[in-house]
Amino acid sequence: MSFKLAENEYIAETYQVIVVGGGHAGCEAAAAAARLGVNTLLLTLNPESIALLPCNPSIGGAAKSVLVREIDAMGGIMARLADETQIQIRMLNTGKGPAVQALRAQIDKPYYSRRMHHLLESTPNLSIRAGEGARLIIENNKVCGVATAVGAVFACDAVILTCGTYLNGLIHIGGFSQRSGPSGYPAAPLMGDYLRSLGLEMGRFKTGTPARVDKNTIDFDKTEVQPGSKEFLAFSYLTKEETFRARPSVPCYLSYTNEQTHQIIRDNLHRSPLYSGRIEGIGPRYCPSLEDKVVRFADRTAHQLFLEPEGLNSREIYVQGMSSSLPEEVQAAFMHTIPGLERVKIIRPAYAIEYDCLQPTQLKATLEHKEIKGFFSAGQLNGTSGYEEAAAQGLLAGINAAASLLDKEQLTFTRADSYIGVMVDDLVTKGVSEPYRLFTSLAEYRLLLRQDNADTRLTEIADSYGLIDEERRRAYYEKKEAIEKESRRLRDFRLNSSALQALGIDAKSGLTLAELLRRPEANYEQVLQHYPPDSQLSSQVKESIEITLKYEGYIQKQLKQVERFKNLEKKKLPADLDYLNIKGLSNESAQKLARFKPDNIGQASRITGVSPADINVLLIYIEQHRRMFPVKQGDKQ
Amino acid sequence: MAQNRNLQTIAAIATPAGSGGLAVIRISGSEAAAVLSRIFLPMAEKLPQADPRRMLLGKIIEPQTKKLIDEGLAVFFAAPASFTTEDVAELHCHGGAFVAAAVLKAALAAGAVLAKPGEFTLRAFLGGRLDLVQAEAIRDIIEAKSLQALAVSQNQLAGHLSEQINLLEDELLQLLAEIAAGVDFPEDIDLLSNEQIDQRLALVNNSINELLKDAEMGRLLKEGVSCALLGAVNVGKSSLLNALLQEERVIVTASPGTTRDIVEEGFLLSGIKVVLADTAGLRVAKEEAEQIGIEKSRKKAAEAELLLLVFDATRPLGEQDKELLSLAQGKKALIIINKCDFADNEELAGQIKQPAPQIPIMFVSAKTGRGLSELKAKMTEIILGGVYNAEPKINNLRHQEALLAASFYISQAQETLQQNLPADLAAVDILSARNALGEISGRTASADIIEKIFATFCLGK
Repeated sequence: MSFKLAENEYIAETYQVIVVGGGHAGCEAAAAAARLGVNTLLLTLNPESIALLPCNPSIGGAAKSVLVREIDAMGGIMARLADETQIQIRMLNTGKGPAVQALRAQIDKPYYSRRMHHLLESTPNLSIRAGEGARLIIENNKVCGVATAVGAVFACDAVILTCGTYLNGLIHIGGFSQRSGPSGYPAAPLMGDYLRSLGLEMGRFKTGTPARVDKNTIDFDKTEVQPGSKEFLAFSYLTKEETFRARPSVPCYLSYTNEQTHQIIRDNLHRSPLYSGRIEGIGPRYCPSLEDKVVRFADRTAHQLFLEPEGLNSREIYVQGMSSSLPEEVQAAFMHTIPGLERVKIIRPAYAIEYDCLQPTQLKATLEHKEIKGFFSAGQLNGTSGYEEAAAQGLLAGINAAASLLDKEQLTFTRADSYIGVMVDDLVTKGVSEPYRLFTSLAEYRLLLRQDNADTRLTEIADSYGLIDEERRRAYYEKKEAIEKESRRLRDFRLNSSALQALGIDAKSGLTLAELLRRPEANYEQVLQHYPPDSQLSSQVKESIEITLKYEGYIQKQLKQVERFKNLEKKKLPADLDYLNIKGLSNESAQKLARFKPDNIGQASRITGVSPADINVLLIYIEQHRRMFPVKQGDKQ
Repeated sequence: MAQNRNLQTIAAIATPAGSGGLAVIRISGSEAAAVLSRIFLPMAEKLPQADPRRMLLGKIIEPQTKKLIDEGLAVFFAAPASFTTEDVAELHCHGGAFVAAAVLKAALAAGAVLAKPGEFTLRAFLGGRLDLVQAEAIRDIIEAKSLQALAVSQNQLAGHLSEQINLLEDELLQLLAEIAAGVDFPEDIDLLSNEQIDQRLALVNNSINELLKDAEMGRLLKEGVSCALLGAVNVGKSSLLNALLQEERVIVTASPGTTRDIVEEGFLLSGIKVVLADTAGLRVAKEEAEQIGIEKSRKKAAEAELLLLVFDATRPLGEQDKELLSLAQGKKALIIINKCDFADNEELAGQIKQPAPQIPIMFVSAKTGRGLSELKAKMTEIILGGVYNAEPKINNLRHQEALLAASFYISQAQETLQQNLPADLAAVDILSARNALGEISGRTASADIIEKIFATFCLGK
């Protein structure tokens, strides 16, 4: 080791990859790197807070559930663990189209956390160590170690920062504020200051979490019950129905605010640090605090709220929809106006938290920093919100950190192959101006990025990296073969006129079962009843077949759109292109392009502030250039 | 801004070829002032570049020999306040191909390079002065065939089309957002019903169809209409052509078969350029050249948009006449009974009407001019066929194609909604429709657009 140590620092141990932070990003990152065979350390403030769920007690939901499936398809942990620890699971958006159905599970928080800790402890090549990462050791723009607050230096070849909301964390409850991480864990001020000292572009974001209240003080009779699904549902492709059946199903409850609630909030607005200007961080527009909702949607007389259990053995109930930074006293007062909560006792008050994050436009699509080799970051530090977003980034960063040491190609995704691709492209191309959450609407090609086909899209790629085990490999290829066989059968099987008559279908004889399925009135279960296949089909196989055949026409259309998209992605922009001297680009665009150095025209077109007119100019420029300097045979493009 | 760009200074004659009172030579680029000073000697002390936007009188000279080419005016526009956003100099010299060419040659000798077709417009486009629609409009203004076609292009240049397309595009985007919001916030947002989306799409499609109707009109204005005069020999086709053109253009004699080649002439009919093709008369050919002429006539008939079938009021219906009617199948056509110098030949009209009852019949005398104005009115009616709009916004095939595509995608989306399938599936087509509209205004970046620009402006190599 040739690097310089500060006073009181000593070299403790040597690893290949070090992950700093034990949240959802850190867990997936550490596990992925270790799975690829590199010697990995997970450095966390407190091993007991590994995989903490400091906000909502649920995993999944619109768009996020596809992300969880994608994590699973690549051998990640979140999906399987959610299935093992869920206490209610249901499907959202049924009837709104095959691309947008979403699973959501209520999670037993302490159990999830404990299970993750155990899983990581039993992962080969992975060590866990308590400590606050204080600074990175960087020599010649390359990471070579991490120093902790107490002076232990861990040498390494790559580091993945996944510090979540801990960097310079500051919580607010009314007029009270305090340096703190989430859920009362200590903040980590050193790394935040260190990153700023590197001259990196940082942001300050704010998020909030609602109060937890005592289950025994709620009058559930005055609320609406929301039960979970009785049918087998799971995130992971590997989860068996037995696992689902062995889990309890605990209901959630629904209630509403009213005018009285809103009046209390309006009367106390001046006591909210958000409105008095004491919070500088930028909060997410899509996840407003209750005071935000009351102010911004003044004409609404009621807002819904969900009462969700924090765990099977916990008396704490999470009040979804009521995040607030008003004083505790006001929180209690407005709670008591809500049907069912008249006598409720608060266990933990709602709070807002401000934290430092990195502007992710400084990253490559691999999640490695553009200027510092071996420095990866993932999760909330990159300006996102949500456990799922964090976990997916962690997985990608873990794979790429390990791949860079194993001389494997770096893994990147596109907007056309996965939600991970959509998210990372948004982050590194557009950057963040508020905490980023993945939405269905952000995915242009969502009909192709469904939760039923995440494995078809990603498992073979993951396999080529050595990320998946034998069990998953077998299950995947069996499913693939079953789908192909059954699709063939449905396309080949023709119905004669008497068969059609029996089914009451008005069509020319010779209609195949596949064609029949495409009709809006037909459904696959009926087809299977009348014309069963030789062998039983799993529910996963049936789901995939029904969607791909029934919506084949739409899927084809989307594939055409993807072709167009790829045409622009294929037009490469040389890294040494002198944007400042291309005539016709607006000054703002030229500067952004020069700083950002997009890989291709498609990516350039998504940079905020680069207009389609600028893209036309670029297209003309490279086309003219191509015509003037044709690529000679044998030259590499 | 425009300086420091590694681009050559270009020059070209900006006025149309041929003789006119005046010719303009335009020079654009960072060297424009230098080029100008080498070939223009002002009468006054001041150089044009010292006093931008003011016309100055002076001598235009050959730069090496200093020989006088012409006396003329020069004006200088400093970047970026010029058409191309670069420094631009213009020399106004006397008309006539020779003088203009000599001035251009002088400019080239003084350091400019010859501009490629469309290069001034392209530079204006690259300089951010024009959007794509506007750049195309300029090309159309240059190529405009009538005053009304010019008006369409000027309309586009002013940005009226882009504005309207942007509005439609925004509405589609809004719909996409609302559909997606219902999906992303399943517990908070009331979904739009399929009927609501369908109705809003129908409104967008109506607007697109209005524009498309416009487009047909715009296309007619821009490209004109091809019209073929067909008839047996010596029924007076050429006389009719001359009567319509109101001046002698083709030889007219009494010997049958004089017009062996096809003669094309244009005239304006309600602002639309009608290209009339006078064809060889149909008959059994006596010589080979004539046979070729007759074949050409048949081909022309197949290509023309409007057929004028000419009959002779003084002769009974012959074999060739009957064949004529068969050429008109499935086409826009008019029957003209010529040589009705004093009265309509109703009897002949009756005979013609039997095999072709749907084709309107006009009685005309090319010689006396009887019935000519009625004929012109009828031709206008048939050509416009319900598409008439005094101020169309679209005359460009690329725009028309994009609108057709958008309209197609919207109907597909509507079909999905009407089948009660989830709105998210309709979103696939709504997105395609939006992208198609964006190709007109240039708000959708697409490699195809650039291909088309290169095809139109003849760039590169």
